[in-house]
Amino acid sequence: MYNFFGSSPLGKQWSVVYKYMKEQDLIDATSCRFPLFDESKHSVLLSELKQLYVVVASTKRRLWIYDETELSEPMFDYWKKKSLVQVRLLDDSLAKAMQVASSSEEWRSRGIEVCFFLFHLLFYFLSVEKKKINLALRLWGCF
Amino acid sequence: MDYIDAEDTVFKNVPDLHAIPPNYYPLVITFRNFLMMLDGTLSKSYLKRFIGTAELSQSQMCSSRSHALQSFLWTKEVDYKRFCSQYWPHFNSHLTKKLDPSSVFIEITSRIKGGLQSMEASDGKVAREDYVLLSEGCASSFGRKKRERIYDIFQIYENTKMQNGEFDLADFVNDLHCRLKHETYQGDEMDFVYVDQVQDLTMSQVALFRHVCSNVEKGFVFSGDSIRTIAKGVDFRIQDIRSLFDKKFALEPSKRKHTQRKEEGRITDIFHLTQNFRFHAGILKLLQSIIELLYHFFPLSIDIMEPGTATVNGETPLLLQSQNNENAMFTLFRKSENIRRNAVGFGAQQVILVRDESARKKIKDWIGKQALILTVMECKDMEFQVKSQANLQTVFTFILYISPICADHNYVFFVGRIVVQLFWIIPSRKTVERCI
Repeated sequence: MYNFFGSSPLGKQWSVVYKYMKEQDLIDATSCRFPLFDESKHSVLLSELKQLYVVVASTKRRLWIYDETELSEPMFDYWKKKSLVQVRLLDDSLAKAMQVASSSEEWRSRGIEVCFFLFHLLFYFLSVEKKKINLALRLWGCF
Repeated sequence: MDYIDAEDTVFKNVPDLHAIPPNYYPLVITFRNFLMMLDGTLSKSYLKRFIGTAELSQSQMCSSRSHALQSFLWTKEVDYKRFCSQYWPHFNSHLTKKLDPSSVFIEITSRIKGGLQSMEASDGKVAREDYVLLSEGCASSFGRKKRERIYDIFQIYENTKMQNGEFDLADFVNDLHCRLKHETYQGDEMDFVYVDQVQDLTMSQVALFRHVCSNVEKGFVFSGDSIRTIAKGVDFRIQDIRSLFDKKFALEPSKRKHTQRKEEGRITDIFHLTQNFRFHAGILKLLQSIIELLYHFFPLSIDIMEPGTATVNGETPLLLQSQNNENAMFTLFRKSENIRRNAVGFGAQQVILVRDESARKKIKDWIGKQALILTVMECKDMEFQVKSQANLQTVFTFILYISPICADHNYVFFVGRIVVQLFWIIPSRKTVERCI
């Protein structure tokens, strides 16, 4: 996940997370200052949290989170405090370990997977109705 | 198994909801088709009236639900996308400031025109005073002044929509409710209704099912996930369905069969799927921490659920810190820049997730073809790829499983939007090309 918080329309308002952490006694009340939550950003926070949920939920095995800016700090602190994440310095050795190269066979099978899904789609429509194929093609055209 | 859909050869047109041949049961239809079928079953079809106002030849009018006409009709529908692109820019900026189109559209479709209170109003629309005074407990996140403005926007929207000769789904649904108040539903009586992806429907849409099925005790199964309602124009909680069900469905005496309902104020069961097969423990805990925040800040906007348990353990998510303020992308892909051809990049199962198209472009310029880059929206699609496959399978196994047991009953399976979901993979065909 690259720069999710850095590019967030919520901006510095992410620090409202500290308010929750304070209530949960996850941080010292004195050590951290957070602004009052701007109510107009309310619905933005809701949609941002839902998007974050969707992004995290698309992970199958490994999730790496990286953010260029400091806007991510509140959420990072929150996760660190709850020890849900590990912090790692991204050096060359880690970079190497992160890259799981795929052979051309694997790329091909990934392509086939996608093709298979498209065929799945096609056969679904064929089985529903032969004329469906027309509909499918028309819809494809629309997109 | 047979299906009824927009292009059915047997029916040529979408049939009414009465005298459907038995071999069409269990019936699997989309919500839109259900609406059209219900519309045809009642007198004074809304679609016919609507087309009557539009400029169309007399011959086309005869078959109100022919395919050509349907496609014509749906081009007149205002959905979330059209609201944002064609209506929103025309509203006065002093009305729209500090509001975003998606939440306003949600307010209009889910609360003003499609909520529990809208059904009690005579024209299906909550009056201004009632909307502004909606109690704080109504899950709406707007203050009074903003609600005033939203109601102004709503009124302008209604007028422009009428001038443009367009309609939205809520108009259609409200008209159906209105007619169902005055006449009895004469179509086929269903014994069981299964609604999938119920989070995509508003309360007044759900309430329509009451009219086709009077088996309140055991006849309804709704399934859905309220966290997945991202920007679709519907604000939904499973709890709301429950209160709707207990208030409207169970307590209202059935019009057709005059059965007395003894158990008042019964509570419908909600089953949470707590066993999680999709994520490993590390991811699940992270997801729960996000849900916790959602509960805390928006206790009224989402359903309270028990935390799930994962069946497998997995790697804890990593927060990456860059070395000497160097961008992570550079560290990751620097080496391979020089060694072309067999460069080690990200593999076929790895992906960089960015927020939008512009961010993607920026990174693409950096790293070239060394990794797949997906945007948040695309990753939603990818998820749907998995999800819709799973959905189809569960629904079909479910149908296959129960159909022999109760072959003599009428069944309707409203497999809401499955077809639509299947198509959502297509916008990301760029991804496909990249993969292949």
